[in-house]
Amino acid sequence: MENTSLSAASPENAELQVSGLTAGYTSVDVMRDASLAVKPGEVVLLTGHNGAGKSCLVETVFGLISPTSGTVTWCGEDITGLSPRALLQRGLVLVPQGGGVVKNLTVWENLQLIAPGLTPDRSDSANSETNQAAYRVLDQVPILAERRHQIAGSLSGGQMRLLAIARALIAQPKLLIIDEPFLGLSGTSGDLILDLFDEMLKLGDRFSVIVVEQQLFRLTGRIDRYYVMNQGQIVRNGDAEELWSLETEELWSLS
Amino acid sequence: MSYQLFLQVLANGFFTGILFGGIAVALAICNLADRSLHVAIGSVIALVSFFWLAIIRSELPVVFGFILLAGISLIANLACLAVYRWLSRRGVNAEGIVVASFGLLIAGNSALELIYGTELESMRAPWLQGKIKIGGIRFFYGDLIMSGVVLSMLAALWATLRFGGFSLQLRSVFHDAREAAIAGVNIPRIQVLAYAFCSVLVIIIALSIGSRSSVHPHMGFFPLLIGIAALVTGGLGSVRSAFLSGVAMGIIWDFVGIYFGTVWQFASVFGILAVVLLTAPEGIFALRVRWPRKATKPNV
Repeated sequence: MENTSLSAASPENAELQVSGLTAGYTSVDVMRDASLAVKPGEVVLLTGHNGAGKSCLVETVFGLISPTSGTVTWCGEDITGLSPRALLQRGLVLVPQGGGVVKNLTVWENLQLIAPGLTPDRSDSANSETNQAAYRVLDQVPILAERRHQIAGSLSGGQMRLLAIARALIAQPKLLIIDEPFLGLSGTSGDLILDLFDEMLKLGDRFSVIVVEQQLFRLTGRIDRYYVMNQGQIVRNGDAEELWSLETEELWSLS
Repeated sequence: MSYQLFLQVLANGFFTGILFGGIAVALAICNLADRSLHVAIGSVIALVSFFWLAIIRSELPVVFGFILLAGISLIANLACLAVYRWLSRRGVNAEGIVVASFGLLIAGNSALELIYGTELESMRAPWLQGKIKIGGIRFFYGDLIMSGVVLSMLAALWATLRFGGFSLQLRSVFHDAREAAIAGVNIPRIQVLAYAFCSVLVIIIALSIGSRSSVHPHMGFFPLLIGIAALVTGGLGSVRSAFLSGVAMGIIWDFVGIYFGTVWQFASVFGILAVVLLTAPEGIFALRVRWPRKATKPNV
């Protein structure tokens, strides 16, 4: 069953609209003619086999790769090819695959990089808005505050991923793009990420999320819609109910 | 060897060291911003010196002269940065960019040689060549001015790095430019600021080298080699290490020149570099890896 209808790829009132995007890491196009849409407050899953072009798609949306064709619009504005900094200013935040932290900086410096006004004193009135937003997130992951002097590269894989996601949340995103949040993590570490994932969806104003993931079972009940990529193209998309109604074998075959 | 001579050599070595340290700092700040080894700076030093001669000959007021020099130095350094960025966008790695920078150095020096020839010219800045004597030790105005400017610039840089967000952004770009970009760091701005700082240092370095010896197309090459040695000996990634290493190199340079002869000067500097590379490849004052300290709980 394949569903690539334009109506599902481009829902009405979409906040993010990706149309016919083609891009690649070198001269070879890894992703061809990809279209995707995200409505306000939606959690959208992007899945597919290794090398399907998922990371290429989100990195192109976030301006890390220049597309050879296609457009990306955010709230009606054409943001194709804008720098990550410009996108961050518009509320788009990326947690890249296996990264999201500068490993040679301390935990606190990593947080300050995205929130320059962040101070160790949560009651600091001069930066109250930044501090309030940051401490709302840090309250969910107290280990980061406890280890704020530690070099990020010396944290465990799970803690580093928590730091990356916390840093992204501190930026108060309107659209959060998370690439493979559970990659290489054990069950316990994965659960920590899931707890944060659940908590972040409750934080303040609801923001949109694109989560790139192959471990679909981790996201049961947490997504609104899904897209499947294969060989650089979006080959399937639909509502979450439709995804979870699939037979287990078919579900596994998607990613 | 008299005590007086020892002090004189020490003083001279200190000023030479500040000159080498200045070059090492200029290289270090560019290296922090884009991981390049901006050796083309050697050619910019000569270019600035020749422009200084042209300004003197045209009898322009000194203030305009300095503004013009600042513009020339900035344009030349930013042109080099544009080349590095272009190469980087085309997938050329850091080693390739170093080779390209050497290419720019050779091309720049050759162009200057074609235009001005190979004759040595005097700096024509008498105010740089005067001297005063304190406690029997001679101090050249040029050395004092150069040291004052370099140290003031380093103090300004230290204050910027210590109290602004610039340090964090610069270090993040140095360690992981991709992650820094994802965190919203304005990498082009960081690089332009770093090269602009380097441009100002280049002016004072050029005038200092020119007043100490003479102006010729290859005048920046040998000081550049010592600057590179100081940068590597100190350890990449730290401006302070580069400067301290440069000062140490300058003092060693002058002492070796007086006590053992000038033929041993390069051998001593590069001998130290070889020993450091064999024993501590990350450099004497290498960037400290801060292992987890005792966790302190903030006010949460």
